[in-house]
Amino acid sequence: MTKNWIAELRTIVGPRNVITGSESLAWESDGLSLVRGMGQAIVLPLDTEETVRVMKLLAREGVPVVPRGAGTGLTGGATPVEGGVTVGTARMREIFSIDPVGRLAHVQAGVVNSDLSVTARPHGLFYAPDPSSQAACTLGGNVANNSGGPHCFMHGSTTRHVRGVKLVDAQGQVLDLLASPADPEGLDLVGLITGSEGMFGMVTEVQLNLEPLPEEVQTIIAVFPSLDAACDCVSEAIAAHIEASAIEILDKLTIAAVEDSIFAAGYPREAEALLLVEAEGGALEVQETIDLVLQLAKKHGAMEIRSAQDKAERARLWAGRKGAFGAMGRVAPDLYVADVVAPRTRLREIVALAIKIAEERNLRLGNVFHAGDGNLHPNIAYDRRDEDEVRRVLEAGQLIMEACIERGGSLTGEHGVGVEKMTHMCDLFDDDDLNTMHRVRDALDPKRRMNPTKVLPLRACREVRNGGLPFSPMGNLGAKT
Amino acid sequence: MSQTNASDRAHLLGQGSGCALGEVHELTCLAPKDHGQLAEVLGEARRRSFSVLPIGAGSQLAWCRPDAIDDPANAPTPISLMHMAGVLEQIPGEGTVTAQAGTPWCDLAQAVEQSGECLPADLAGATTSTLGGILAAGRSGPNRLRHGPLRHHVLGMQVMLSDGTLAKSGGRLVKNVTGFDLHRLYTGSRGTLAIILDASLRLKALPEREWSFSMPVADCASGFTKALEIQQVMPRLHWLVLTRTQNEVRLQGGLAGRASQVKADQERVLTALGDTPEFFDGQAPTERKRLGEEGAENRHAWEIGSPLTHCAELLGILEAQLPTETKLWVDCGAGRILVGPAGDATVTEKPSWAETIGAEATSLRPLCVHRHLHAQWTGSNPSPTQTDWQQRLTCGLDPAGIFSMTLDPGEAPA
Repeated sequence: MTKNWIAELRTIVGPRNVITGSESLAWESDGLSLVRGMGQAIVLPLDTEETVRVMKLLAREGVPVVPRGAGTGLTGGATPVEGGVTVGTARMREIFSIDPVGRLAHVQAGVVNSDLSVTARPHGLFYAPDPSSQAACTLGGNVANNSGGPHCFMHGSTTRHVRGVKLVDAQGQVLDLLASPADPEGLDLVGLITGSEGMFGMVTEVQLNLEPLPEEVQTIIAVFPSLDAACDCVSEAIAAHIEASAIEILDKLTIAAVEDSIFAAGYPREAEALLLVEAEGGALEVQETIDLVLQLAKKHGAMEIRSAQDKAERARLWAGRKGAFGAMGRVAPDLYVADVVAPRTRLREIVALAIKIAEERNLRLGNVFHAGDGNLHPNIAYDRRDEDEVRRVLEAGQLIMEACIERGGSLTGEHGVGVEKMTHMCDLFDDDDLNTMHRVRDALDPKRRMNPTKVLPLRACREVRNGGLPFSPMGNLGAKT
Repeated sequence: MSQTNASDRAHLLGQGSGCALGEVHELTCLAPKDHGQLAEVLGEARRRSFSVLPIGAGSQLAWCRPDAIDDPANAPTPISLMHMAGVLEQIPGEGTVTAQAGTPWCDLAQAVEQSGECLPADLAGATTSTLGGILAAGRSGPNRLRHGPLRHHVLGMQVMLSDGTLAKSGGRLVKNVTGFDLHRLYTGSRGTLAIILDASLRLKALPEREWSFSMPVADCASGFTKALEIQQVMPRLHWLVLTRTQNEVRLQGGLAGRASQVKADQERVLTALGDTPEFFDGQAPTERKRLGEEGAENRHAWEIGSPLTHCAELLGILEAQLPTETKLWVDCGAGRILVGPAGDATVTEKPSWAETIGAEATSLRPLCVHRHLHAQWTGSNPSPTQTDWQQRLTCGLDPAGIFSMTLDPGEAPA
């Protein structure tokens, strides 16, 4: 029998926008398909007003809330929780305004990332953060995860581009931080909300900074005989203060997968590693940057260097890079996308370690990553129907994270913590650090109904060290021994 | 709260905690030498129910915590981290620096310049301000037009909460989204949530060449319109500032970066300006710092944050209303307008024009007038939810209320 409050939800958002039972299976996971969950319902409000009514109702009933954008996240942040309701932004797709003078866009949270740049282009503007999933992921999801992308090497992650938000908190109160001045009035709540993985409320509208379209763009690829050489080239370029807009590396397995797919970009198949560099800005500074890359690439043994001759070729090179995760589907039905950050002076060492960890477990690992930021994505192709392979994949993922942290790296550069990395928060932060985060969370959501069982271990690190989180969808894999 | 003055309270806390005393801007302050001693001071403050205020080098007190100097009887007890200074980590090739909060900004700037890098904000008051003070005050330099505000370049922080808890957030890497960005919350919180102990910043490449211009304009409103036009022509401008003094209004700005590009761009800027500006090629850094100093050190300024689309209109209102002796300083990249007395004059009470301008300015929505003369925190009206969130966060991190005089712990939200 349908619960009364679910019937009430249908009254608020319309019967078609409350999904329950087997129809909600499509929402059972996000991009971390290893972790699945089933809540009581999926609700899709149209706007802030409907969201307020939904959130007030859920607050009255004491129901946990999982905010969700397009579900492209890769760490389980949008996985439904038992007894909870997933509130999605799929119907919030309006771009309210583009202000070409103030270089600002005001959008609903469910607007797809790449749609904003398309809309801003006639004004000579674009939205800089460009996650590989930008053709599907939403701007609200980007805010929740402080998403990155290749061009964040120059432009910075999402947090540098969020000017204001409108958020509905756990009690259904609206926090309107739109139309803010350039500096926050009082505490920087926008900075706090961005990257909080939906734990402070449901973002329904966003005000974003736009950038002027660059006057000049040059894109090159350099083919290396080894991944080590490509990594060393990047480390030296960073030390030389290179001012590129994106510095990416793809390895042999990834290149083959891309070239066999609809994203084929003309990458040379013989390459052990490919360096993809883009520079943007004034013509002279762009040329100097590219010249520096060419010089360093040759020094590190590049076998071939090719420049994109026109916009179409540049677009093709990027389509290959951004389609790399999808292309890996040709290698195996499932893909585990790791996301760790290495000190930029230790790229080669940590990439080599990831490869060794995968080889030791007989796993197929492809590397495609934001080398300029030290943000590595060791991708492991697997088949989730093979339980033993799943176990080895998760073990490898954990070991890669640990190796990175031991060498001064970090858990995540752009995908967030979600459920996947929650237990490893204790490797990076101590009890006092995590308790302080809990104090902030409890101040804003005392009943912990917003996206529970994500990001922060429940009582700091004690239960992690005592043998795993009983509620963790990752089971005991995260347990520290 | 005791009615002893801040100096007496500093002596009492010093005796209780074993912490030495110092003097900053004629204020007697506590000067702990390490984290342990700072925790002792905070413990003593909790026991005695004294409020405390981290003051850095004291250069921003009049600006963002006037209560510390205007009302000695009720002022919080100042704490200086002058003895907790120095660079903790700068690895060549990483493009980041981590330093203790008491490190003078100018020392930090010099340290990173040696590796061909520069701090992401070219700040005024660099000769006296500390890293912690600048972050707590939420300051940014005029070059935010190019690099964005300083808070965007803070990678991580370690702070001490009022109960002595040491807490980290973020990290030392250029890209990292692990956990809540609490360092963004502490930045600009003016010492009301925690005491910043150390912070990591992302660095920028030291520019090969800088160039700047200065030209008279008819008035601020038309000068701002001109500034927007120039930005359309030259998106690579690093800074753009409008100043009104008793005698004239000037538009000033500059470029920085690769030498060849700066040379090419300066020609385009000159063409866009139309008139022949005076320019000081080669003196740009000095001039920019002087301008920044003017903006930041104006002790009794109002600060108005305006959307760029309304800025010219707002400047027109201000020019029409303000007495001629008042000075305007406008950061054209941020829509940040400072209003203050001319020259070195010191205003000891709110001038008569303040109320009039406030009414005019706030009628131009959306707009925020957020640093009022002698106002503790904000002169505008944030929404009830925003105020509620701020109070919840303040109470959550500082339940005893020792960092915030304005918030009675008894008024903590439910």
